[in-house]
Amino acid sequence: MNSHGLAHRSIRTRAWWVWVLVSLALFLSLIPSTQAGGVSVTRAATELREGALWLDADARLELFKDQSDALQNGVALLFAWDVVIEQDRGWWGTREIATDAWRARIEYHALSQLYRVLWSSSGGESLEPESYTSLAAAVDNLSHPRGLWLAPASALPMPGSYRGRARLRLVHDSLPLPIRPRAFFASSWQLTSEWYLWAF
Amino acid sequence: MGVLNAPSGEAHPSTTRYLRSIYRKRIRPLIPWVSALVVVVLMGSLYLLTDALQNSTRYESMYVWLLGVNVGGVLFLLVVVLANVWRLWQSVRAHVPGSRLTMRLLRAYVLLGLAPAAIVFFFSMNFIQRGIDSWFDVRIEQALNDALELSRASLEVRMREALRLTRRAAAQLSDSEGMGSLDTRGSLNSMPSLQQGLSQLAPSGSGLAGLSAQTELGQEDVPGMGERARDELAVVELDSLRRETDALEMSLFGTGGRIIASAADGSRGLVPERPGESVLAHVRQGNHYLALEPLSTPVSRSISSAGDGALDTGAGLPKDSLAVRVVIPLDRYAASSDHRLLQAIFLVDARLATLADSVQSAFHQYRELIYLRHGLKQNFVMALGLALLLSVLTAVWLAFLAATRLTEPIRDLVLGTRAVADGDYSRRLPVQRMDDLGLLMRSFNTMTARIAESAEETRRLKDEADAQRDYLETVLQHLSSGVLTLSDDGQVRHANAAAASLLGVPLGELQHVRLPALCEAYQHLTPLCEALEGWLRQDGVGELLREVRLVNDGERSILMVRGAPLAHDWAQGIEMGEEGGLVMVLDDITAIIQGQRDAAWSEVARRLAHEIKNPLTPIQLSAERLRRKLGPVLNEADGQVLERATHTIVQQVEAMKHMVNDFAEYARMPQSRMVALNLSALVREVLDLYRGGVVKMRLNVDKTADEHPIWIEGDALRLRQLLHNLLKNAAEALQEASPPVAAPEVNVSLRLRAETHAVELLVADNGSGFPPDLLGQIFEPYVTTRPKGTGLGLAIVKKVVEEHAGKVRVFNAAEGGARVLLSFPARTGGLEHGDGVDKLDNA
Repeated sequence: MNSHGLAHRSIRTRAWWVWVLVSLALFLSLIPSTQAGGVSVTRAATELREGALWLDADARLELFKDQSDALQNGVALLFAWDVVIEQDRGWWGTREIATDAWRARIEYHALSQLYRVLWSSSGGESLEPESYTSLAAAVDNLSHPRGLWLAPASALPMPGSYRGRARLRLVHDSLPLPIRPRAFFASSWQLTSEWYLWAF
Repeated sequence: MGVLNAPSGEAHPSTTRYLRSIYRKRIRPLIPWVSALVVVVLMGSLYLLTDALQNSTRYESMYVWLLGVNVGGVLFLLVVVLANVWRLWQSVRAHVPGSRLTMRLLRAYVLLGLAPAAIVFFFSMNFIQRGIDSWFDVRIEQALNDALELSRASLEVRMREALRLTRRAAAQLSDSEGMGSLDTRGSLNSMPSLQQGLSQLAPSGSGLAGLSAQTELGQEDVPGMGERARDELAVVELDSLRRETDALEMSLFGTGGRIIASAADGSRGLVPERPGESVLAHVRQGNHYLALEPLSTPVSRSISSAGDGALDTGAGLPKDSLAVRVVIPLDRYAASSDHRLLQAIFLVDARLATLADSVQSAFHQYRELIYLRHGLKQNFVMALGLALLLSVLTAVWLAFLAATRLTEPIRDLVLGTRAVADGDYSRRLPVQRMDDLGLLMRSFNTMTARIAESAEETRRLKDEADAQRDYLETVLQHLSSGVLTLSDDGQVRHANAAAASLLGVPLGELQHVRLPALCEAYQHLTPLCEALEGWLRQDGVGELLREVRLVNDGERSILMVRGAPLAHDWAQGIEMGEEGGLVMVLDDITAIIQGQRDAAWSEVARRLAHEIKNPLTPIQLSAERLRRKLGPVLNEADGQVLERATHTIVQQVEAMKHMVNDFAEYARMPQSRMVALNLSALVREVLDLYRGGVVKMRLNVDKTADEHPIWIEGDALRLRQLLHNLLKNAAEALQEASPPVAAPEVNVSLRLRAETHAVELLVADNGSGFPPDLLGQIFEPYVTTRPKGTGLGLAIVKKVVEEHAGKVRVFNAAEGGARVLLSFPARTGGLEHGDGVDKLDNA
């Protein structure tokens, strides 16, 4: 092949790589970012009492203006506390004891001008709703849960070594459909904390 | 494909070729089917996406996945289309047959597909923008705001009433006697009558099933039983106040939110509603808390943290019930550290609550719609855009397929046409269509078949013509007659080897040269050009028949030249399209004429010998008889005269006899006895006879010939006569030369010419040479330069040479002197040395 042919071939090869890179960039741009936004779990701890395992947790949660506006306009937000309890069995690896997701639904009640927080678990339990005069108080409620039931004490044979991890996230699937694509791709809607780990 | 310094990072060329072949053979054929599958999946996915957008809950959870599938599918189609466009563009640049037409068709198809799609998209966008905006009206929004405000206002009345009642109850509670008496500390256990009264009160109090007494003493270690008794008495008072104020629940809280006493309607749970910490803090500062709160469902599990307020709807209450929560401090405890807070919860009238809730729901939905309007538009636009992209890309892709399918036979036709143009008539196009293009391809196949037949016929004819021409060429090359074809302007087009030989011109120089130029280059051809000049001037009209005499290097030849014009068709056939021309045939008639002349001379000589020789003897005898008879009888003077006369007669008769013998010898055609003989030995033998004469004779034999005998097939007697004639002629010429030659000398050279396989014998003298004007006829009989010569010597030489299939040539050397060059065929195969000499001796 002459030099012209080689140059032509190299151009074709370059063009092929350009197409691959462009496609990859487009694809990557469409993948939702998993980076935590304004939320992080600062503490989590479990307690065995009254025949059950209870969770106390603290998180730093700051809503973006998008969420505040959504709440003010009647859109309810659903936050989830994902909790996983595992038993450390040494050489036998770990065993999942409990996987629970407590969900806190926060909504604005226009008539009373109060913010309500409704707790429910994936197991079907629910807590009495709380009403707050301010959004900060409502957010404070859902970011500092106390006494969330996780598992019966019988599920945790003692003595034993256990590990837990928890995170707080905004559940995008609960959002109204029109804003759901934006919530998936916009960084201002990325409210998912890193996993917080602890042992007991 | 060459591999020139491929970077180490690149794949090996063979691997690349393998991957490319895999792609071409395996993957590329699948792309159309995969694309079709993607289009179908995309259409389904798009349908589900739009269905989800229309508030369908079926696919709501899959919405993002559907969106991803659609975007991914569209990207795939985009890549496929762009790859096709890229390949097509490369084909256009490479001038691939049919690519330009494909591009043009694709452009037309895309325009045809894009135009309606763009119009639909434009109007759809317009419809979406305006349609969604038309859902909303400022007046409706204002009306809903007003309705909400109205609801709040109407509830405000109820709230103020609730506050008033609560304040009154608080005042009564503070001022009540019981409260004051209970101020003295006591123990509930020390008051069994009160406990009993409470226990009896609960069941007996109709509608007071929820009446309870909270004695949370855990946090307080000081109060003692007196305070407890006081709080328990407060329960009774609270229930009374609750009934009076028609409150749903009334509770008394102590420091830290401790429940001191609570009274509630029977529909309520046992645990009273606790105000939130913020409410408690707010009230502890001396403020009151008044809020309208929705009632919630019963609590199933407690949570330690509490909100500002959460109202339990309890059993038997509507779900959308509203309640007014009032929390106020008790003035009596304002100064002390032990705060007392009174909380009262009043149920809002059910109808009012329902209406208010309806207003709020409508308000919420409307606000939500307004808020989601932008996102909704974006989603519709996105779905529409995806649908448009899907349509356009599918249209482009289908346009590709259609254009490719349409131009495929055209490309085949172009390739077939090129093949035909290149002389390949075996190309047949695949006919897989029954439309016009299929008909065209069938016609093309028919045409190429016929062209192939014609070409085959032409080729066959050409082969025949070539064979004929080769045959003719072979015949011409082997003809003894020379053949020349000339153009009208006298340029030689073709000449055979015989023509070159006859004309004495190398064959290569006879091609494409004009005759005048040839005659200028070769002067001995001048007679030929002169003979042909007139005929050529007339463009070869008529036939030519001329006898031309040429003298080339002393060799004389007579050519019979015949010329005729060539037929036009014949010339075309032979000369590949050149028109007209002349053909000239040359015959060497030198030998014929010479033979005729020799025969004539032989006849003359024979007759002369016969006619003259017969009377000579009687004349001689008569003269001798006269001398013998009359000599004695005549006187001395007469006798001397007689003697001289008879002597003269006898001498002349002898001379005439000698001459007649020569004639007879020339005329005689003896049968030669050809044997193998050593020519060098023969020459030496003859030269020995002339040794010691006036003329110095010398023999030069080249080394090769000296070492080896030179054998020829010959008649020793005739050759000896030949050598005698040559040497005698040379010696006599040198002796009679004028001016005389100082050192007359004859050199005889003998050599073997291996390249021509001939033996050359050169006789050279240092005399004045032959007269130039006699060079051309020196071998003619009776041509001599000496007064006493018969002119038969060289004629006999020539005759003997020809008897031995040899050649003889005479010329004058540049340095002077005559040269006679004889050439005999050398004998192949060996004979024993001296064989020929013996035979010579015998002969």
